[in-house]
Amino acid sequence: MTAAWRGRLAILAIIAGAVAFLPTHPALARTSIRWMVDTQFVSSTESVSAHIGSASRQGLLLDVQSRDRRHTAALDIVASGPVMIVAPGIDDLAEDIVTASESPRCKRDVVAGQWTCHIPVTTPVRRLIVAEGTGAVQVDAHLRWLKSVPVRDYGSNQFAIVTLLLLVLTPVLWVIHQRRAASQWVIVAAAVTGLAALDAMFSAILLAALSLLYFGGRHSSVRVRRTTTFVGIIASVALLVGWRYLPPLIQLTFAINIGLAGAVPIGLSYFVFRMIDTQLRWRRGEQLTLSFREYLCFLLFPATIPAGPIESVDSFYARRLERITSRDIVYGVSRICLGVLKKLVIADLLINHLLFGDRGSLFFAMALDPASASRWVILGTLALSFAFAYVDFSAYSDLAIGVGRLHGYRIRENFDWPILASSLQEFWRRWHMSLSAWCMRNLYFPLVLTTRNTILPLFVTMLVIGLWHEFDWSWFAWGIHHTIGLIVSVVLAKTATKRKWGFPRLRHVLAVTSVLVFVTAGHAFVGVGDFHTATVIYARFWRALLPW
Amino acid sequence: MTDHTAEAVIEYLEQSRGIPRASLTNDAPLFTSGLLDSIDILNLIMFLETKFGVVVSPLEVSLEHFDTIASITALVRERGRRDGA
Repeated sequence: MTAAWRGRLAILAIIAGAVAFLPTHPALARTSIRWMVDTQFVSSTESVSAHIGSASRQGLLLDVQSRDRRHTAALDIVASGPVMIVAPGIDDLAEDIVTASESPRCKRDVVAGQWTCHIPVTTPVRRLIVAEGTGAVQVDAHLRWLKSVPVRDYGSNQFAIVTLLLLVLTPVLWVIHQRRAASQWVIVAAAVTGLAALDAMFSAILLAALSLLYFGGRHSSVRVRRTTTFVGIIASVALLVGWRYLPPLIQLTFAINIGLAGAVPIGLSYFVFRMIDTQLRWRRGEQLTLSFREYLCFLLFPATIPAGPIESVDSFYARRLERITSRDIVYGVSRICLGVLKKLVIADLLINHLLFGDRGSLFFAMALDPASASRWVILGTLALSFAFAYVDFSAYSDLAIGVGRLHGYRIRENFDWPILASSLQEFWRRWHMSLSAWCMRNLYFPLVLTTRNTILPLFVTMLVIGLWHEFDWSWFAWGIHHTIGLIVSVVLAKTATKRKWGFPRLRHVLAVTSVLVFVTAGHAFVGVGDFHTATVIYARFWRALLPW
Repeated sequence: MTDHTAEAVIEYLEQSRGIPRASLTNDAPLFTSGLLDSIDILNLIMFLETKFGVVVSPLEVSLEHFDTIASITALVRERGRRDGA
């Protein structure tokens, strides 16, 4: 068996292993889902019989908590018995109640004597189901997770400390930027202080890991360098995977709330990406003269900690400003203002409100019952979901680029009008450019060399990008969706090179539209975590494009 | 050697991918600019291995070594010298 075949088989085995772990393994559930029925703790109970009634204020309390994520879910309830009332919580019973007979989300089956309700909820959930009158009620309640967004509950004091640090750091850097060593130590000190204020344990682990990787990775002995690279990459990936999936396992196994100790630290993924990239450069004998100070400054540069872009160490220092001029300050402030405008006004106030607003939410109109949602609801929701991802993430990049310029570094662009791409390949060169470039350098290219194949590495790369977002079936399907799209795109591009078709402008418009439609279709898997619901929405999206 | 390598690579790219010779300057990015796509990388490497007998190992080279005619030429020169030594 040749080395290329061994490589291909090894990759297929890794994919098979990941797929085997993907289904509903409890360790991978990212939440501590606890259903509280009255005061009795019931784990994963979905069907209960209860004697409930509004007069005695006895009810069926659904208490669903999540640790470091905000979940959007559909609470599907099938109940038999007296008329049902669903209230947000015990204390709110008198004020904000929804009666099944009044709610447009509930239907009554008179013959079967049943009520069926699909109710949107966002964690933490405290819902009380009671009945008008008293009687035995059989309730089948089921939570269908539709969307999951990571949230980390940092205290306002912690944010105040970080903001204050940035406000102090910026003018200090204007004064001392030309003294290279001093300015870099100041950046490192400010970053370490800020990280420690947010998460002391994580910052200690990170500093220890960076020190080990630096002194091992640049060692004069090639053998030590190779060992450090191997161990460093395995440890970095294990740290990332462990921090994301181990805490839920502990919570579910021992039924304890470990709180923020289990929450994924800020920027962990981006640290790991930059660490691996630098490690592989040392392995190839590049950047060996990098000092410890420069290494720390690159890894801990404040502007790129929360959400990238994922710089490489050579281009980061190649774009360091000689001095910070008034033009840089104006540019930096302008990019920050642009980022704030995009994030707060366009993404949050406008698009997010249309998707998840209290009244007339498009997302719930689509996700609660996708089989019967109108085509315009499906198309509109997925288009807005894609628009939100673009505006929101590019806003973070604007902020990083703006703050970076104020601190004396030209941070690389992360988005280059991907909505104008005329092929899917071009889209990926323009969307989250730093991640695409990282994957091309450190994943796709070595895999092509190892396996002497291009399709398998493409599949693995898109799969890794997908599963990096979330380790679930929806993102797995998203990876397949984009792999197929990229293969088709390459075949079409090669055919177009051989044949000379007419109408270049019309073809360009059609190509740009096709890319937008294809990427928007993929957002069925991005916006909706529940795999079954996502596949229904995906199929309905393509059918909605048909005129009949 | 250098001119010969560059000329051979330009000729290969011109014939196999139909890229105009004028676009193939010494420092023009091939992959990061989209002139070549991700699928072309394997064909290019196999061409270099066959034509110049260089051995390319995944942990010793990076995509940057193949991104310009100049970097490809430097790689072939360096590898040829090392493999021949």
